Amino acid sequence: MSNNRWGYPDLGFGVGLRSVHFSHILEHQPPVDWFEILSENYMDTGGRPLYVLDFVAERYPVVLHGVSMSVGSTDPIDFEYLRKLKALAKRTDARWVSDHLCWCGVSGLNVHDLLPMPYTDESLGHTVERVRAISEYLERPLVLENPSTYVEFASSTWTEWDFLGRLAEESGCGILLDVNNIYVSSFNHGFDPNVYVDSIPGDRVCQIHLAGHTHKGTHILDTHSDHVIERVWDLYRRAYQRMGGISTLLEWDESIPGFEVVHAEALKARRYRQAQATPPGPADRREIETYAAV
Amino acid sequence: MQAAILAPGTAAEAVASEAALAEIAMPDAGEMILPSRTLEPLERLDIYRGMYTARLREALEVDYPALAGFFGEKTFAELTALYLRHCPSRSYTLNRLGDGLPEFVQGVENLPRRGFVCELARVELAMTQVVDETETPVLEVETIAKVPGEAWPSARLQPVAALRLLALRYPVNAYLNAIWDGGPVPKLLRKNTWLAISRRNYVLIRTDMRRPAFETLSALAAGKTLGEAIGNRRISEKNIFAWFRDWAGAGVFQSVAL
Repeated sequence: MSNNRWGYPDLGFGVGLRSVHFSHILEHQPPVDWFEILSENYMDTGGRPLYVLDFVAERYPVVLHGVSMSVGSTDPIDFEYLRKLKALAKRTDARWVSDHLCWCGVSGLNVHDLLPMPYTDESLGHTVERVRAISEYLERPLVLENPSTYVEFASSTWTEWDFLGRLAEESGCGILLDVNNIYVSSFNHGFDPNVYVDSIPGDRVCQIHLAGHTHKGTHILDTHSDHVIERVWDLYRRAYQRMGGISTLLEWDESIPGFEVVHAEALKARRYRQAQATPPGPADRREIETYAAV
Repeated sequence: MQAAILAPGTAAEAVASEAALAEIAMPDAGEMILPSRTLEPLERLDIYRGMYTARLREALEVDYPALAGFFGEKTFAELTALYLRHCPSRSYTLNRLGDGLPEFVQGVENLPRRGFVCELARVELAMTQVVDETETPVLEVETIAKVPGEAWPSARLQPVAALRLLALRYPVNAYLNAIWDGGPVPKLLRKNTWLAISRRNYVLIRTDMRRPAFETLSALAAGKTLGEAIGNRRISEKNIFAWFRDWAGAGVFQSVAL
C-alpha cells in the first residue's frame, strides 16, 4: 500500500545500518524489512563500510539518509557532494534519498549539526529554489525530515509544520516525518505535537522516523540513545491512523545495544499500528494548553 | 549563529565576539532567539555550542584514540578545541576532520613529549587513511612464483592503495602494541623505527620493518624496479625472499609489471 503521491512503497519496519552491527548482519542476515544508511559514511571510503553496504544492498531495500546537504544554507549548493550522493544512490539502488530541513554551515564552514532555520517567507522561497535544483540534479524528489531544534527565531512568521508543508507543496519534495523530533521540539518550544502531526500533508510523507531521546529537565536532546517513549509511540499511532502504512525506521546512534534489541524496538511499530484507538480529531484546545503549561 | 557556535568562551562572549557581530549585529541574543519556558536565549544557543564541541572532539578521538589516551580527557579536549579553531571543518564529512592534526600539533606551544606525540599522530592519521583507501586486488604468492628469476631485476611492483610507509624517530608501534595489548609501555626515548601499515581483507596490519627492507619497499612503492630499489645494498637472496613472503602475506602489492 502506498499513500504518497510518488507511489513509494511501504517498506515495513527498518533499522539504521550502524558499524557496530556489521558483523552480526554479515553473519546472520537478519530478517529486517529494510535498512537506512547514513549517506556520508559511505561516500568517501573504499574500506569495510562500503563492502558491508554492498552486501546489504544486494539483500535488502536501502534508503539513503544524509546529514550534510544543508538545504537551508546561503552557501552555493555543493554539487560535488551531490555527485557522490547520486552515485551512491545508484550503487545501492536506493528507494529514495532524504536529508533534513536545516542548514549545516555558511562561508564554506561546516558545523556538522542540523541547525535551525528561521521560518519566514524569504527563507521559504530560498529553500524552495534549492530543493528544486537538488531534486533536478538527483533526478528524483528529495525527501526532507523535520529536525529536532533547540532555539526558535524571533523573526519566524511560520510554524515549522506549516513551513514544511508549504515547502513540500512548492518544491515538490517529500517529507520524512520524525515523530520523535516532533516530540522533542514540542517540549523545547512548547507546542502541541498532535497539531504538528495533524497539519502535515499526508500524501507527501514517504517515511517515518522513530528514536529515543535524552530528557535534560529544561530541554530534550535528540540523542537516539534509548528506547522510544510512550508519548512518541502515541504520535506514531496518530500519524498511522491519519496517513496509513508508511515505511518506518528506528534510529539508535548512542549507547547502541545488540542488533536484536534495535530490531525488536523497530518491530514494536507493527504493534502500534495494529492497536485500536480512537481516530484523532482536530487538535483539542485543552491539549495545546496542557503542552504550553508543561 | 554559526560564529556564535564556533567562538570560544561563554555563550555571552561568543555572541559579542567580533566574528559573531560581523555575521549579524546581535549584541542581545534575545533580539534574535526566543526564550523557552525554561531557558533564556543564550542558554538555548549554548546547547548547540556544547553539541558542536562534543561531536567534533568525539570524531577526532575516534581517529586518534592513542593520542587521546596519551593526553587524557582534559588536555585532549583543550588540544582539539585549539585545533578546531585553527582548522574548522570545511567538508561535508567528518571522516577527514583530523587530517591536519599531526601538522598542527607540531606547532603547539608547551606540548609535552612533542617529538613522540607528533610521530604518534602521524601513525594514527596513516591508519585512518589505510582504513578508508579503495580496495584493490592483491598480488597472490602464486603469481609471484611464476615470475622467471631473470625478470626480477627489471620488475616493477605496484603497491595496493591501502599502504603507508613511515620512517619514525620513536618506537610508536611498540607503544601502540603495548597500550592495546595491555603490556608494559616502552620508554619513549628517541629511537629510529620503520613501519608499514597495510590492509588485507579489511583488516589493518601494522608491520615493524628493518631499515633495508623499509627502504627497498619505499623505493618499489615509488615506482622503481626491484633492481633499482635494491641498488648497491648488500642484501642476501634469503633476505629478499623473506621480505617478499612477508609483503605478499600482508597483501602489499597488487600487480607486477615485467
